[in-house]
Amino acid sequence: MAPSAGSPVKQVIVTALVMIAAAQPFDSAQDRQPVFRSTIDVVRLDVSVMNGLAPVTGLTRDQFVVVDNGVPQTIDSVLLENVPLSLTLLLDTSESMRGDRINHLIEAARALIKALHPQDEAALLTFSEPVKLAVPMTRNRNVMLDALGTLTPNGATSLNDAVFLGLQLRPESVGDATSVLLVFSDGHDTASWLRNGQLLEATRRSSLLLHVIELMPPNYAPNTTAQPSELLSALAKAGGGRHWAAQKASDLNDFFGKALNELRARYLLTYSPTGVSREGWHDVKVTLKNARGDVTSRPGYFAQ
Amino acid sequence: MSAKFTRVGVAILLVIAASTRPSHAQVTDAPQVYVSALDTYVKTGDVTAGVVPLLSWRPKDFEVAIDKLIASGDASRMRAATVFHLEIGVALVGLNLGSAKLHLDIGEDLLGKARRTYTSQQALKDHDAFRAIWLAVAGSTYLSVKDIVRARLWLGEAHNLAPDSAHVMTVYGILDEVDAQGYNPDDWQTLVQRERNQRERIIRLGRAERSYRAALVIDPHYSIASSRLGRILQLNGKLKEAREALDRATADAKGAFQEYVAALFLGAVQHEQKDVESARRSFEHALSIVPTSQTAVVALAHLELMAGRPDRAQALARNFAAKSASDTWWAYKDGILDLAGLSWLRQRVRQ
Repeated sequence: MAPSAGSPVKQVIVTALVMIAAAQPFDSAQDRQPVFRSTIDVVRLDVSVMNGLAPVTGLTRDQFVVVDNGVPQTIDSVLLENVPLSLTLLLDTSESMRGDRINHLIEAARALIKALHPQDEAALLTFSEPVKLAVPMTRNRNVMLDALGTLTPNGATSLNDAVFLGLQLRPESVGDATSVLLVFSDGHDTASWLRNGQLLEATRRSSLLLHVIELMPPNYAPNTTAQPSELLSALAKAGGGRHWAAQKASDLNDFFGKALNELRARYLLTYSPTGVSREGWHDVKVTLKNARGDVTSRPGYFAQ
Repeated sequence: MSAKFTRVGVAILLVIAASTRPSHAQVTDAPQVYVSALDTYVKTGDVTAGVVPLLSWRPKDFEVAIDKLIASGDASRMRAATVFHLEIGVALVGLNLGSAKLHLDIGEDLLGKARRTYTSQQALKDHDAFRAIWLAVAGSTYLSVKDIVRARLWLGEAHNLAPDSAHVMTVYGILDEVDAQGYNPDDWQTLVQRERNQRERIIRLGRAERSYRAALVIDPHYSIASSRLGRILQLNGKLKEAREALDRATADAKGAFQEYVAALFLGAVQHEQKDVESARRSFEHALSIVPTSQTAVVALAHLELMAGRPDRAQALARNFAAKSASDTWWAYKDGILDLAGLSWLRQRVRQ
């Protein structure tokens, strides 16, 4: 006996249409353009330089060395600080965030939003199994704060699909702003279409800076310490950002603060690639000369 | 039956009700209200409309009403009630597992008690067939939120009741397939763990493959089994065989849901075979069937990105974000929820 499918798809479409009516359009200026286009004229690199937990400031163009596919490049410009942020918060609101965990997350995210500069803009994406654009990119802090206050945990975790969509939803152009995806998750993916390798490759192809804050799972065996996720670590590396792992929810405020501090201390390097093939994957290495610090930047970029 | 339930709709109503009703209030005429709600559901096929009068009910209120229904011996209403509670469980499972479990347990209990009202062998046989599909849907509901333990319990019972059902056999295969996802060889801390994950994954995928092949022996044109078999073969790297199975699934698909799942999986195989044009057509077809399917959007946008068309990937994501105010599409993620079974149960209740 094999029941036929009937028309459940159609039924849910009716429901979805109702929900769509309440949806807000994604806010993006018509004239925005992607940073990386079919040909790469100028490469922009967001670079962090840290000395322990302290950002290293005051570095000049001459103190950076950029090597693109093995070929040293001439840096055109270096900008530091006062670069506005175009920040997308991608927050895990799956079932495992119930209780104090979601409250600490909301508190931490709200503190981060309040600490943004007036010229910064922010958007809010949430995910459990579905991914939802809760607040399109805006400078209106109250909209963000209100939306954060309504977060409710439920459902499984589509981490991979959510990060992928977050990368695709980056603002089309941010001018001189640093475009950042700040991912928060407390668990392993349980519900995505994309596999880990596919997500990492997509992240490498994105021009977005990607930071990750991880909250360790609530229920691991006594007398053991949960290990940070390999995937999240690799994801941050592929996105040129950092991966922080919080052992308890009450630490989240501190970690969100660290993430913002790091974003404020980033250098924006630009160069016009010379002596390298224009198409395909470019390995990029950034180091310092006559200066000390731990440099973090994207591992490269993909040119078409 | 044109049931128009939505998890979101039901959940919102429940929340509203919970916030407006005094916490110690009791429903004075629970049995009558319950039967009226049930009749509304059967008449309209709209579980949201049916559930409205029950919004502020506590488990005790349900207990009183259902005891009365059982005492009435009204087999037809009891059967309708099992599907009513199943629908509520399906609607709530991703939002509140505890509430979903309450309704699924009520439905399962009613199924058992309804059986006692039948006397003829034919009626009992018919009820067991109904029960098997009900259990398969309930098991798949737990499966859709990765509650493998409960899913296995309920699907095992369905399988015992209907060992020769291609449908139940297929859902049983999906159980092992989903269980295998918990053993991700990419996700490991030690080499021992990686080897264990690979081993356990292969075992479960092997069991799933056997279930799908057995389902196809029972019914060679059972599209969902062909789709799932194609998916498993793809995961095992047998791309040519996978594509053949998915071509069969496409040809045998009955209804939009089966067509959607077949298109999605076929696109994945074609993409892996580097047949980008065919994969694009398949994903676009899946998206045309379910325009706000998150999975279809992700699959197509990923293909476009990898094909060197990042602008198209971004446009797809933006279009999706502008529409995705609902989490209704969870069930269509990759066909885990047994919608075919649910649809069949709805039809039976309406007869």
